[in-house]
Amino acid sequence: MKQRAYFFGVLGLIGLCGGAVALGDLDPNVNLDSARQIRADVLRNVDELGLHATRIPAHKEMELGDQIAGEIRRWGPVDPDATRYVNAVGQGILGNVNRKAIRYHFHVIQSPQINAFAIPGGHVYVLTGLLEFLQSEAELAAILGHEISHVDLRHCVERYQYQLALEKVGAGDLASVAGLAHGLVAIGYSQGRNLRRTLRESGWRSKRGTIRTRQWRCSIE
Amino acid sequence: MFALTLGWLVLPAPIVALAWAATSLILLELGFTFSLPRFRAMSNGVAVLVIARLFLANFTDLGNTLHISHRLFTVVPVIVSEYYVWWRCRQASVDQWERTWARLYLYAPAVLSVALIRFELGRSIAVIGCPLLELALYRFGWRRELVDLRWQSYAIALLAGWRCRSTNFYIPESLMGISGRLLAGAIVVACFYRAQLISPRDSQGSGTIGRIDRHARTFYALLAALLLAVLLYYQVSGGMLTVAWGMEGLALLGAGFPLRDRVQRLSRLFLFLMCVLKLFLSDLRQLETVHRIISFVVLGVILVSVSWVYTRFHDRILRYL
Repeated sequence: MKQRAYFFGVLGLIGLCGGAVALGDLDPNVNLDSARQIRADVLRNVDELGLHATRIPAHKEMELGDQIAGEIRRWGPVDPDATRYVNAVGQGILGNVNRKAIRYHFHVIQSPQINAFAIPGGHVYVLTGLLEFLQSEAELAAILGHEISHVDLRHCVERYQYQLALEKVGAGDLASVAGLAHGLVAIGYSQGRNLRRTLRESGWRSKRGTIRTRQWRCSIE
Repeated sequence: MFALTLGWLVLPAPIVALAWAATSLILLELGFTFSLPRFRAMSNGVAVLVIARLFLANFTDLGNTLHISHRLFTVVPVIVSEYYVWWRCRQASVDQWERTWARLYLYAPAVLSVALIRFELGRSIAVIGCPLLELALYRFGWRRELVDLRWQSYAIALLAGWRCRSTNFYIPESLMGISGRLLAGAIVVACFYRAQLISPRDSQGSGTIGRIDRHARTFYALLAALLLAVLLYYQVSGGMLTVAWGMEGLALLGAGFPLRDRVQRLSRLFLFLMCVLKLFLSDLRQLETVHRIISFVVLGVILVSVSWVYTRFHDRILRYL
């Protein structure tokens, strides 16, 4: 008797919930999104473990950054006046960074492209094309905040960590393969990183005034 | 097959899983009523399809009725039906293989619940729901003497602890106006301590499961102490970290005596050891003078106080040990 009651109770609950769903706004999508999201969660957490294990100290990161900056210098002439201005704006928003040991350097490269990027060790690059495109200092601050957050949250150096760790143990040949593999793995959860970075930036942006979100979103790399 | 295909063709996508779950239940009931093992086997097959269907169509379902998500409306009844099937199989006299299979019906709801929490609360808040589920499973597992629920609770505790550290401690966001890291960390740690407190001290179980159950109290205490230490590591600035860990050790000591908990007191000793090592190996070189002085003074005071308490109240403390 008890079993019957429970059986009809559960069946009734299923029917009731089915009816409630039928009355609402239905979402007809059937896809593998949930599996993809769970996979991304797992990959992210496993990758975090590896990245924590192979983390390099700030001074090593800055050495690596200086090496890469040496290569970037060949790309084009630097605009010293613009660099001074960008540096002044950038230094103003460094108060909120977590990793105080990193020294930030801001560079402006003469190029018509609308772009900005950061490399490990605190080197932030802005192209003159982007500076001409921007309409206010607040917009520039937003972009610099975005790039600084890449460095502060270790997104830049994480691309090299596995390679550096393998080189350290004498497996330099595998380093580039490891870098490629990590890049592929990271694709799976890069959306989460963007969210995390955006959250960090939003705190910094607000200190420099309001900006037009549409514009800075389309202009940054 | 006809019923499943009909449901799939006729019903809207989010309701298909519910229709299949109902089919599975009816098959099971018919199987028990008329002693038809094949019906029960078919019911098991349909139950597997229901779970797959939930992952395909329901967990990422964006629909709602009266602002209640369709995810809840579809996954919760399936969870209830899985528990019912497990209970029904337990009541009936079935073969060994069916009894073993029925245990899976106890694990499937846990998996579905974790996934439901993940998708309903979102990636970062999910970690708050998981330890609450873990606590409920653990409590129920002891009350009903269900070792499977306790196993699930241990697994979910590890998952919650790990996710809290790797996801929430790293995200600079706030929840309900409170720092997300602090809120998530505090809830997870509180749940672990609660699980520790409800763990029986004298578990008599035998075999592997019994051994694990006997150490459940230690497991939760260590997990909570570790997570709290990591939370402090992220929350407190580098200069005051040694002081914060010292205070945590003091709090664990304070709680360890009234609770008569050896693990808590040993965790405290381990923390003090870590603090002393950190003080000499790291702080001495890296901290600013002010923070270095504060760290040395506060840790020194804590250690002297603890040793004084141990010496002064030696006899009274012995009663707690």
